[in-house]
Amino acid sequence: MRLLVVEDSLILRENLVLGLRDAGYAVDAAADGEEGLWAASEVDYDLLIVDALLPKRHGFDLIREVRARGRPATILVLTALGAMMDRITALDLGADDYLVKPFDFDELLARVRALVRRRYAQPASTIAVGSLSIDTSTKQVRRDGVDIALRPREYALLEYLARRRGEVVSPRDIEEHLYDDGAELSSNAVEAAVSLLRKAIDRRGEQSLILTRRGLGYMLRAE
Amino acid sequence: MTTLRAKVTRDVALGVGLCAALGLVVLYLILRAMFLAHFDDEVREDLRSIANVTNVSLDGKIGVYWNTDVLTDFGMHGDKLFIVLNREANDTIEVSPLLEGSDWRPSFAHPRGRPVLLDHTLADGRRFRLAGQRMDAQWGWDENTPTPAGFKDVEVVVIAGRDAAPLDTALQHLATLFVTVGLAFTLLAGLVAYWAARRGVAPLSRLTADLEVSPIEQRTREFDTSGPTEVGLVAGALNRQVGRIQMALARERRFLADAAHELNTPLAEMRTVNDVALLRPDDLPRLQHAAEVTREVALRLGDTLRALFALSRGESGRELPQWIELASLFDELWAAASARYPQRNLRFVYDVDATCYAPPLLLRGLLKNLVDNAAAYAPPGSEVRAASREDARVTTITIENSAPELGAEDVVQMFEPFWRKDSARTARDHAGLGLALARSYADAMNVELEALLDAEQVLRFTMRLPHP
Repeated sequence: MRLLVVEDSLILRENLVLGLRDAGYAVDAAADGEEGLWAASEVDYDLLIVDALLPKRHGFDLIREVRARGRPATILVLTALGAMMDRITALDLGADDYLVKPFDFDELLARVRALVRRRYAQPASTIAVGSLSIDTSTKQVRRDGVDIALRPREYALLEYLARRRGEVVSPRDIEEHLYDDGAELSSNAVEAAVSLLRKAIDRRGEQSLILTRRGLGYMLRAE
Repeated sequence: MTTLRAKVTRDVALGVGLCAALGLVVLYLILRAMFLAHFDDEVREDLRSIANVTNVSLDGKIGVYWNTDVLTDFGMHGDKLFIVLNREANDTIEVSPLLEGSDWRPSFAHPRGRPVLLDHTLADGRRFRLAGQRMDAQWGWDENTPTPAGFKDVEVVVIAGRDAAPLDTALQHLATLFVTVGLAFTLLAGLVAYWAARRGVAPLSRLTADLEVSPIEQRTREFDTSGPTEVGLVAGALNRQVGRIQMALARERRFLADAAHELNTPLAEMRTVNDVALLRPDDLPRLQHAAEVTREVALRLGDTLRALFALSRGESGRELPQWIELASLFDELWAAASARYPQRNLRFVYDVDATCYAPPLLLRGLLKNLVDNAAAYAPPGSEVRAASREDARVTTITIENSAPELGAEDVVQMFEPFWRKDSARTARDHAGLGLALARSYADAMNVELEALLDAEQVLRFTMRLPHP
């Protein structure tokens, strides 16, 4: 899942990016409203985390503009403005959630997970695809009740494919949702990641759970 | 506690009562004088009646020839009396029945002329008003009877009058009437005043009731100013006061919200840095970094809190003024400011040889915040200039720097606490309290602090410190 943090405080921005990346998300950051709006327009983020009082363009204005442009990303407002009217305004403008500073980082992670679920219209925290079970809150993957250890990137790819199960997901989509701007991408990064994921989740001698549609992309199939 | 209604009622009743009493007393005295004059005229008429019947015969014998059937009032049961005395007034010639048996002989030494008025009280206590006159007894019975030859005039003293009881009674009734009228008038005036005062203070009562409806800080509508002018003026003044109070409360709420926000952000930074570091407790460099960031933020938080405390002290502080040399003070302030922003490469050009008369700590606080503000916001590599001018009455100090990003509207707001050019408060090393502090110190010193942005985008602060 790819997130955008729009926050003018350098300390907060750096640490939000750090913590969210640790949690397995691809995270980009913007320091002001203009930059944030540009990034949100260019990339199909799953979630925007937006401060309200931003330089150059107010966070609420950014939300209004993002919604006006029809971007599907869910939006979490993260601000020191805790007044009821501020919350109402933000939610009415199109924000999906509102968290007042100072906040507990675990609570932020829980809200991020919930908003990502909402983004893909999957209210449960566990995604089941055939014999495969993915607990998005603990990042635990099982097949037939057996734990499968995945690296963060492989997990992120599996979760993304699982959230879009039954759909053919293009490599470009995968790139956009799994790798942030800071990631160094090789030309076959997605192919390599899919290959590694297949090795981890497939049974020897059986057809892979991840189907390749030549020229189109990949699809997680239900057995 | 007396009510306005009671006070107006009492004052009006007292005032009207006094005026009525004064008027009635004057009127009574006038009427009394008229009554007395009229009565005395009647007494003189009585005298003329008796004089007319006091005759002298040719042999010089004097007689009072009055007919009790005609002058019945002089009879035994009448209310009039007379006495006719000889020339020396020591011998009674004739008396009316009421004086018969009485040895009363008035000592009448008055010369001939106009009748003289006398008072006499009978043995039974009745008071009589009398008129006496020295005159010649008349000859014959009428004017047509010729005076015989050899007739000599005989002088007598004639005294006549009437019972004064009717006059006294009339005057008593008049006095009673006037007192009653006075009291009734006063009472009526009091009632009218009470009613009028009640009507008059009704708008004030409504205003009071309106005032009690809701606390001033929650009031959403204005007081009605459409009533009587006086109450309308009070309502208007209340509206202005309420507006000022609500503005002050709103300013205070905004200040508190800003202060809370200003403290909230560093708290959020510290908490997030620590939460993220603790996600990887085995990552020592990350923990160390978190500790360093936390310390940095805590120091900044301390600066903000100190500034807030200084703001509250500056607004209430009092300190004795003294003469201060500005040059050494500016040396010190600029050294501290330039050390704080070494990377900004600013040049400080100052010509501040003057002295000024001010409370030293407050002046330092004022100048420090202005110098710090210039050092923080002047474009890198630019000049910050300070100058002073001293004349016999005042020392003027100016501090200026280039401010290309400021607009005229910013100059109006820049002294507000937590104001920054960018509402995002991105400049994390400043809480936006410096200029508010400068204004606070200036206010505490009673010094005029003026900010002006000229056409070349130079922001100039000017202070005028009066000499003692």
